[in-house]
Amino acid sequence: MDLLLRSEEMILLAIWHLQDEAYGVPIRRYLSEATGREISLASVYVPLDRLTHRGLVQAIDAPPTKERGGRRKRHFKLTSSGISALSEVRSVHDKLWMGISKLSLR
Amino acid sequence: MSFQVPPKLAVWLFSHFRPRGDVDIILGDLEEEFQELSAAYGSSEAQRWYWRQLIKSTPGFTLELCNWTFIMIKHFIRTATRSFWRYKSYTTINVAGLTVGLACAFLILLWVNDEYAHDAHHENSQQMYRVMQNTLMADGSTVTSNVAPEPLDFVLDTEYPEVIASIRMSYQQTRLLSIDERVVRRKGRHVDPEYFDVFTHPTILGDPQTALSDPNAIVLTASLASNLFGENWQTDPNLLGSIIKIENTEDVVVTGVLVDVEEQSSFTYDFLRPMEAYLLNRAWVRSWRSSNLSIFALLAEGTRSEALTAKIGGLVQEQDAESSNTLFLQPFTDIYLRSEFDGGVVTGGRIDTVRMFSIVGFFILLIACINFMNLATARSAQRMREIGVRTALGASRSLLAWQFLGESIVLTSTAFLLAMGLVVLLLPGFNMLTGKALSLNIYDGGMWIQFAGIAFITGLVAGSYPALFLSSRNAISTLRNRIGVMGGNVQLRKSLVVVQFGISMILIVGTITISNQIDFIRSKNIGLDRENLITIEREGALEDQFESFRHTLLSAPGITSVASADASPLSVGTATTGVMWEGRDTDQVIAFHILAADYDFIDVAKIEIADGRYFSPDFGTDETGFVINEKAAQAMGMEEPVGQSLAFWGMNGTVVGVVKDFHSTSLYSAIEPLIITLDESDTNTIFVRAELGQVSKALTSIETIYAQFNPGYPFNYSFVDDEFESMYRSDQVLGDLARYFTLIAIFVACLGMFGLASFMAGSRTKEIGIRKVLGASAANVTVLLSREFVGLVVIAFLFAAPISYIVMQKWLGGFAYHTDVGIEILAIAGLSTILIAVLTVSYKSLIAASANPVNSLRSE
Repeated sequence: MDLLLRSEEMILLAIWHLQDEAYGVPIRRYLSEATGREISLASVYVPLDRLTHRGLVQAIDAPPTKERGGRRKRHFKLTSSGISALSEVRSVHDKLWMGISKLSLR
Repeated sequence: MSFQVPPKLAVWLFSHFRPRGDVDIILGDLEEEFQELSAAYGSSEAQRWYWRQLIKSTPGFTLELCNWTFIMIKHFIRTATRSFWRYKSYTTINVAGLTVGLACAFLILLWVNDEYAHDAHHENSQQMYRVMQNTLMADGSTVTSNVAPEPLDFVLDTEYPEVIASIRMSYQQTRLLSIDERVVRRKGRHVDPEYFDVFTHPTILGDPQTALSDPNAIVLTASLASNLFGENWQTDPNLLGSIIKIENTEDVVVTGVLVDVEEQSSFTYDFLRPMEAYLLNRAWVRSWRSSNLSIFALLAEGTRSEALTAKIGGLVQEQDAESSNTLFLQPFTDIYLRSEFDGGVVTGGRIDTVRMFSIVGFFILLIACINFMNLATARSAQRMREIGVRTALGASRSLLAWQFLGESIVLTSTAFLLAMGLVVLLLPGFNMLTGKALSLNIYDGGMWIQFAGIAFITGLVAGSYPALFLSSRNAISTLRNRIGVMGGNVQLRKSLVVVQFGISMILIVGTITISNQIDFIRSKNIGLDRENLITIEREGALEDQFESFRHTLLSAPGITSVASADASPLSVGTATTGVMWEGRDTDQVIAFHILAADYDFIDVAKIEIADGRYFSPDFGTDETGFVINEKAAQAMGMEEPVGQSLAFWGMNGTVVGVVKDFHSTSLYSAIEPLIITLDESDTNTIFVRAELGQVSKALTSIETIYAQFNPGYPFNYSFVDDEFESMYRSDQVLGDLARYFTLIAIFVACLGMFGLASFMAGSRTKEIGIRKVLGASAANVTVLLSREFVGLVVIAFLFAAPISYIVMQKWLGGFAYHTDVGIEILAIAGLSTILIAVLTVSYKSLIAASANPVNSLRSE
């Protein structure tokens, strides 16, 4: 299986952190705060779609509420393959960063 | 807490342009934030935020959409390819049919484009008009001619501000041109000095503004310049100003060189001379009573030609009270395609042929499309399970429709590429057949658009019906009814087969009629013997020494007889309405063709005598005698024409004999009354009859003797039968093309029928097995399977017979002498189509019928 993309990795981590509150709005807000940049709708929902299709996250739909203009809400949960994909990325990262304590031009 | 409403337009846009994924969820999330924001910062701020979110995310979502579309197309191509491999014969039939159909359509399109491009190279062609003239004849008919009185030119130029320029142009005349030792015979025209302002013809040397202002000027085309001045004429510094001799008498000065005349030009010439030189010794042309020149008018932009026609229409009658002529303007771009007039009104011309072949091309494509539709719907029974499974797994109807459309697009694209290859292969042959120089110019964007457009529409027509039909099936019924599905609308399929074979039959009738007519013309006794008859120009020394030339020729090997006349008997052009005879009704206007000939003319041409005798030196008085044809005698109402006196052109004489009618113009028009006068000095064409089978020997003799008599002149000759053939060349081309396209149409239609028959046989395997077990013979089963198709072809015949009869009788009406669309032609077309259909169908049926029933019944 392909290594996770950076955007996918960030979304999975956001879901892991948010736990039960992991749905569209908080995920986007969490990522905006973490990165200090505004995150567009497409860069959240397109990867979310793909992750769901690949079985890395599980989507759980909640019934429509009034605050949402009568629209449904979709919560996301990591699956076990989501977890293993994340740890795989992490080990790659660790290997690549190994021995680098301070990054500067040589 | 009061809820705000997010911008409706934004919501609408979003839900329509992001069709993939769950829009509802995203909009819900958005709205949740929107409500928070509007509570905190106010509604308008939130609205702006909402819009910004959507706009910013557009690139991301669009990219995603493209990605998915690409994946979908890849999927369609993959499933399409799989299904093509699985049903190889079906694929082959469809691709072959579409390829052939598209290739035909492309060839015809190239040809049609070429026809339309005729004369379009003149920059002003849209504003150029030719003055035409209608003459009301005594019998009430109207004759249209393309010449106008010379003085009109001045009137148009001076009195009508909407006419920017008017140009006089003479007939094309053959002239002998010589410089030093080089002598050539070429065709040229006389035109006004402003010719180049109106007509587009680039010059290589010289100034187009002044090139034709001197009466002694001559402007050459590049190929003529290279004939006269050698290959390196372009580097010859003295070329401009060189003196050329015309007919060895007149000296003219070269003032310019033009590029060669465009191949697609109706007005050809090898050189141009000033109009003034033409009029110098033709004072009679400068009269409202004679029409000898073509006059072209360049109108100012925005001028309505009808308005000008209304103004100039009666000019001739104003000037000449006796005249019945009216003038009108013909658009320059109509000259090539629409120059047939009847009763003063344009009735068509080459455009009829162009239309005819456009229709044929369309028909062949239609037949190929029908094949596709029929086979796809018929096969639907086979594919019902696939469709059912797909539907059950959640494929939407539109997805299925796309899948089938995708298949037809893939098929058509394949056929398109193959057709392009086929066109490249066939183009040389097609050019030879049509006498054109068509080529595929790969940089011609317009052509590609047309080709791709045709292919696209074909794919759409062929694919849309099956796509809609197949995708409309209900999943459960398709999965459950495995036997009951008859493969779509059987009635529709049958009617489409009827259409295909109807078209094929119409084409067969057309082809047979055209080739019958051509054979009829070729073999028709035209009243003279055109075989082995050679013509040469009487010019130079031959003008004075014809008698001794004749005698020398007669003693040479291979030559039977020699005569002279002032025109080829196949194209007598001179005519007069001024013939007087006793008892003539003065109101009666009859045009008589006049042919000047010598004593030997009818012997050489082998024209038969009906009454009296032909001219003979034995009588010595025949200079005042006339020989007429039967038609002339009939037109004058003479029962005993021999001995009657006639008068015209200041000549008085008696009729000494009557010749049997012979065709003096093409078979499109009826035989005209003709008067032959004895005037050897006025003749300009020499006729030499070669001995049977000795033509080449005769030609060698003529050439040697000609060179002795006429050393300064190039030897040119032609055969009368060639001239005859060339008159019907375009019909010949029509016949050849019709034959090929008909064969192709039948081939494609049979491909389709073959496919349908194999499908039918395949889907009735069990039925056939049971029938055979119950005692049916192979013959019984074959008849059973073929009967239906043959029935369809018979119905097609019932439709096609009257249509083809009417259409072809109309075409034949264009010939004064023609065959008819007989019952036998209809019968041949019908029977041959039925035979072809039976052969096509019974091949498959026979295989199905002779199969061992055990095999088909064992497996369940």
